[in-house]
Amino acid sequence: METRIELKRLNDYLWEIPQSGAMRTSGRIYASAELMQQIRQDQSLAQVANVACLPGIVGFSMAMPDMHWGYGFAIGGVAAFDRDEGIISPGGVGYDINCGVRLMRTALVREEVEPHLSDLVGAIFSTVPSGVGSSGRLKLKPKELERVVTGGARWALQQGHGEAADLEHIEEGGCMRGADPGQIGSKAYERGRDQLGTLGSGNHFIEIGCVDEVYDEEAAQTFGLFLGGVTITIHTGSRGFGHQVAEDSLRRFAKAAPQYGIELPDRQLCCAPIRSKDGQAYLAAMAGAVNFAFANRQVIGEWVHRAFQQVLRTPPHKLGLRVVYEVAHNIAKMERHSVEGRLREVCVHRKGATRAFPAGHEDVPADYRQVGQPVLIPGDMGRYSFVLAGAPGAMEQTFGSTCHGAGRRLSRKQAMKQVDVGRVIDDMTRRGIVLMAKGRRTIAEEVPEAYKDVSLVVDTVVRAGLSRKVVRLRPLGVVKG
Amino acid sequence: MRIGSSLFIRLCYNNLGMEKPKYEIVEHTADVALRIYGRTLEDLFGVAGEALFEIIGACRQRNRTIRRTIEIEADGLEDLFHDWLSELNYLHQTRREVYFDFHVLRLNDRTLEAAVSGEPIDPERHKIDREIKAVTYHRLSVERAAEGWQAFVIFDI
Repeated sequence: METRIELKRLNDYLWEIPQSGAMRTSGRIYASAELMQQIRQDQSLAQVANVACLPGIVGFSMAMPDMHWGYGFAIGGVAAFDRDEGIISPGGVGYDINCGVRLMRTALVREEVEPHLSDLVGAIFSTVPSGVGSSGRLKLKPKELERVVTGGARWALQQGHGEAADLEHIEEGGCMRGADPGQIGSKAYERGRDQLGTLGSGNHFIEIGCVDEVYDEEAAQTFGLFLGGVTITIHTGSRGFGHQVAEDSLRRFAKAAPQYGIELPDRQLCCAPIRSKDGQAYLAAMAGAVNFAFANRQVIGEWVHRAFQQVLRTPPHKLGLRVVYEVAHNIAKMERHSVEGRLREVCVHRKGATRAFPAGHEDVPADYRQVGQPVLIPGDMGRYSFVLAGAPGAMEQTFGSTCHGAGRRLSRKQAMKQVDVGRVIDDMTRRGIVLMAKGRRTIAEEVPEAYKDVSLVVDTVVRAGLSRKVVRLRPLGVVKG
Repeated sequence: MRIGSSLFIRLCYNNLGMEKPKYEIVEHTADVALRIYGRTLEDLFGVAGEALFEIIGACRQRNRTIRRTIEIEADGLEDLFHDWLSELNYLHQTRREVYFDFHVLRLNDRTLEAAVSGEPIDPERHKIDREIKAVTYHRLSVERAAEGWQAFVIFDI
């Protein structure tokens, strides 16, 4: 859709794109008035309207407050489709399949870690390959990669990375069912063979942080977080393996599209019925890429753990380092949701959006079930990040979904042009943040000013009842590719 | 394409700006878009290859120690264009090579054969500082223009 999008404000945090033309339902945007001013600058609203045109959509075509425009779906887009009548779309997942976030906690406090911060950041920087074109320490033959595809984080655990208890605190138990190595092409295996255990570049990072504010004491305690406690956040995805799976899938879907007779407002929205051979093939390939990303973060998590042990010369039982939780924010999943009083199986697409199941949900880990699923919302590298918990409002309104991060505000070139990188680095140094990155360009493109203020994004989803705040984290040390 | 107020266009000319630009890098919030020009279709595809590697990084002291032949079949010019750039990106990432010359040998609306030459990545001389996740189909176009051909493509980075 190219025409100007009509927008109706429903309340302080919710807007509607009224159903019109080829739209089968309305669009619903979660945003404050301030955030909506930024959102209107690009085509993302039109993309929400386009998604509303797809067959079998259940409920609304939605977007979270960190939305910006993407390919097919907007980044921040959420949409669910009926299992029998609906479609699945690779554009509703994204190229970086299972880009996601792992949060780990430690028993350490900030004061214990600060004297060693440079060494810690340096050790992580040299242990975890990062940056453009980085080759990993693990070089896998195709057969082994196939085991990664079917095993996910479990494969990594079997190789000696991490502990069994980690899997309980990863979405999908760290391994999505239904992955089929045979549905993944040779190019993906070629791109992925030396990328397991690599961070990537751009907005991917590893961050040592600390809890600087607690909003929900009970939930924080349940998650193992406390004021001043040191944390580690890992943000990365399925690397070239997943990117290729996405690209191959789009190509396949574009070829297959005519037989399904689906009229597409945007080619990047190419899709197939979930029940079709193509739909099932994509689900199986996507699950494989999802598992690659789970294995990737499990491996990186283990290397970060070892870096802490070595630099601090502290044994594991004193470090108390464990996984709080790990979420995927580019994924499509078959889930059961109550729709108008009836339980229905739907395919929920979350592209730049995070699952946020509330207290009591069976898919929330048993030890968190009284509190709700942790939701990890990274901000930019200079300010803060948040840990939220899923809330009932998410199940009622957004198929159990919430935001995923800050969302970009400036283009890469604008960031490099408008922001004095030297001043940014000096400012971070003055605040005690140790930063290591492969390239100055990465720092320049990823400066805090390039991103929206994540607290505005979080405040919106909290006001909407999708999630509630548990703690805020602030950065102490950052590794970027 | 409606672009927000944050628009920056870098024009890349054949020489000191006296001729029409070979391509324009149109940046937007998250990724990189290119508008590419060519007198002929072969020219267009060749310039697109150059532009891709300009996005990826800057290379000085270019050597041509490797030559590869690329053959592609696709349903139409736009798919060919997409798959050409995807293949270059795939070879760059998996073989760890950069290419400088792009010579289209054979091109119609379903097939492309091209010879590319370049060398293995040398961190001392090649400043590779961008990773292209994928060549997208978003607003992809290859069409006749007033003076030959033009294309539009966006890279997900």
